[in-house]
Amino acid sequence: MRNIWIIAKRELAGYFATPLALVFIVIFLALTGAFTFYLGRFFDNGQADLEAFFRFHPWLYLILIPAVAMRLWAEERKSGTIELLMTLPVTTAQAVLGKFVAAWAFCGIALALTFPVWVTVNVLGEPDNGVIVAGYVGSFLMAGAFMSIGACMSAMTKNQVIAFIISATVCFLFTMSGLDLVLNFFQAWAPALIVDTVASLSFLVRFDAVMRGVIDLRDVLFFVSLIAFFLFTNVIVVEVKKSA
Amino acid sequence: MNALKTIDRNRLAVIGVGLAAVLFLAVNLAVNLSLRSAQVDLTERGLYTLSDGTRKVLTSLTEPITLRLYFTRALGERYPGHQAYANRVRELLERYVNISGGKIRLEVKNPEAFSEVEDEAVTFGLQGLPYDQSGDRGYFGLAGTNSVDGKAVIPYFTTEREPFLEYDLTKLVYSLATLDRPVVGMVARLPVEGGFMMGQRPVPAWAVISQIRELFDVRTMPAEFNAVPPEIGMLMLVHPKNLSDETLYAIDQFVMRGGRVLAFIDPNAETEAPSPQGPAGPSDIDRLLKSWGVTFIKDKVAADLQSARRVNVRHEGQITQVDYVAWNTLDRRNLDTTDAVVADIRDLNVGSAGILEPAEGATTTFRPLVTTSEDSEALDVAKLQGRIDIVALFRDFKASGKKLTMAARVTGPVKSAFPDGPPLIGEGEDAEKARLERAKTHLAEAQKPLNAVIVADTDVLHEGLWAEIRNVNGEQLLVPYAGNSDFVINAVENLSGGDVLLGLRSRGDSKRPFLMVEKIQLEAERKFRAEQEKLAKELQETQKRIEGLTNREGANSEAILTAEEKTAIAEFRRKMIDIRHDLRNVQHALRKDIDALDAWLKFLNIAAIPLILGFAALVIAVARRLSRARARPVTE
Repeated sequence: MRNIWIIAKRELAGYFATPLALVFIVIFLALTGAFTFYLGRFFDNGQADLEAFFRFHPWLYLILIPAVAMRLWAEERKSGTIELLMTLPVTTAQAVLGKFVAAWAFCGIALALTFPVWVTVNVLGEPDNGVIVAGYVGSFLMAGAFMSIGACMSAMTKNQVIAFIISATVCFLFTMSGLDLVLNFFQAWAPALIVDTVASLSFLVRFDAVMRGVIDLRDVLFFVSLIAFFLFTNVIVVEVKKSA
Repeated sequence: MNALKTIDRNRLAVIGVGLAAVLFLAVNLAVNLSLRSAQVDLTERGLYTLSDGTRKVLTSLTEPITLRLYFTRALGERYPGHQAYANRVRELLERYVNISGGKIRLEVKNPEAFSEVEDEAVTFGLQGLPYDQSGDRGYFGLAGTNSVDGKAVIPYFTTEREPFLEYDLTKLVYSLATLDRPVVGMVARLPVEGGFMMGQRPVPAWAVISQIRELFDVRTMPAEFNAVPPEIGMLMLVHPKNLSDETLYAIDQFVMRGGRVLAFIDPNAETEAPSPQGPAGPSDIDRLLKSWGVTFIKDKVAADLQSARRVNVRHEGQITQVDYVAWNTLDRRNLDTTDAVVADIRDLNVGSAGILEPAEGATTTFRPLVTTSEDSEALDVAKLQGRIDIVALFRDFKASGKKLTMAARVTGPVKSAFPDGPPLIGEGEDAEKARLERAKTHLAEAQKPLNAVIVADTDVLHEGLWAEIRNVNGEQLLVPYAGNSDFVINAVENLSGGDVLLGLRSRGDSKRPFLMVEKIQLEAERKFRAEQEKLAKELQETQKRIEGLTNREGANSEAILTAEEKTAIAEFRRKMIDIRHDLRNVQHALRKDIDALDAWLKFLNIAAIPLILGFAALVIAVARRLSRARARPVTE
């Protein structure tokens, strides 16, 4: 546990050692703000809720989180620091978890910095703050899911651009899962139960449910188990590459 | 050997990942199937938590009910949103089954194209929607039946009505469960039950009346009647007026026997067509009201500034928004939340409601249910008839500092409004004989204390004031935005002796307006409206003066004007341009503060934090550089 914490702290500090993290946060904040106010027409709608704000989160994450995640392992492998990391007295699992926690916390910081929109909606009217809390919890969980996919994909290649493209594609499939596009692939061979399960993997549908103001244990478990699966795969990929 | 080891490791890795994937899917599958109601509802009003009303309905079931949920799987595959909603409906119904203790049986069916199940769904009256190119139809509806062949149907679950899901389901179960529905007598002088207009399409009944019909046995009373049938336990009076003595007496005696009354009276029924002679006139049951201890002020309307509804009006050739003080959206501050009828109502829309007061020397208790704020004014009804100057009503509004009562519950002992016995109907000896005959059963005092709810507005009933009608898949769908129908149904149920439905809320998430923006608008309007009027008047006067000067000596008078007069005209023209300019500024100022707020919020939410972060980063970078420079040892 201590090792995970140390790695996470070191990684998180690493983010802020270069202006890169700042640029990401600024882009995220500016885009969420612009989408909320211009595309979502937040002010013109005149409704004291944050629907226009949360609606764009899956799409923003789809692009921004793979961009944050792409360097997690690819960079280490390219620059060779991965060997150095592996010589430290930490297990691969601890390293994977540490890096993930740092990256997820980084997303959390970016999300927390959107607080002006919460203040705004409370100044303008009397929103249902319970629904807003649920929206933030859902958005954070979803960011974790995107991040675990991104981290896993980053471990598969040395090339950051390829890591970005693969993870954006996988994230896209998870976001849109439940649509014909994805389901047709399963319908041909899988029983209805599997097709139903695949359909239930859609980030959009899961996040929509949380955004309504209801935190369902099934939605939470979905995101948590998805994160666990990709972190496990991440560990295996790093192990295999290490031994290769 | 080494290579073999690597292959093994790779194979092991693939197997591991495969197993993890299977585990991941299995966990989610198991969780989806087993964990049905483990959720935290964070919504302020518990939108997704079953209400007490639903629990009461379900636990009081005595007869078995079968519910058949039809959902075409292919529809869910095509539209994941539909699948999620169908899951929610199914889970909610499963909870109904649990709470009902087995009284409800649920069947979930998949009506595929050209299947027997599809025929069954169609027979029940479910609505199919084409979902792909081939024109196959998908179904997503509910059909319920009870043991006596009663049936109730939701033809299609549309997402627009998702917030009302529990309400719709519970009402459906309730309508199947109650075989002996309370009987409500309806006396209406407004076309609440629809009908046929000469040469026009049939007019549907008002939505709230249709909703009452789903839950109660509504009997329409004839225009004149001399007795209320004994099976009727409650009378609903809508805009009663021009009632004969005979009818008034029948209502009076009904009340003396312990009958309940829900009356909607109105000084200015906006849904009533004016007669050729002028305004249609207020409701009139003064004689009865007096005996019940209520005074209805017929020539005044309750106006309230705080709850005024914003409307678009044409004023001086321009469309402007203004608060219509006689149309109000009343919220919890205006409702007596200790009374079950309004306890769960979040907001109520009324249109030019009247004022009720307790009568002097009344034996009854007068309990206001719906009142205005203290920012209220009793307006003359005449101001709301003919051409209404909404802007003037707003401009000239003077708060009385008094709360006015728009609806009240009246309870307690009462005496007959006919102390001398039944009225004489017709003339001659026979009529007198009949009167004496009726006098034998005359009740001078109520056998049970009066229990009446009087609402000084009839427009509150009309859906135009509380619901949006959306056309979804060719079907008219009612989406309420105020709690009017809940209020009316609560009142009917409460007065007809039931309490099962009380606490069942339709819980449509009410609109949550930007109160701050509304306040700014209101203040700007109050500030500028008077100035605008003053400037407009000044402009008119200046124009007249110029015209007066130039027209003095005929058409071509400019030539013979004196130098002073020319200066005066030039001065007036300049003033006119100034006034026009000021007027434009005033118009602009009405919107200025809001535009400024919009711009500020955009800045704060889009750029402020990034700028602060950038600045902070800069400061930190400079500080670091400085401290590094300081720490560097001096070598030379």
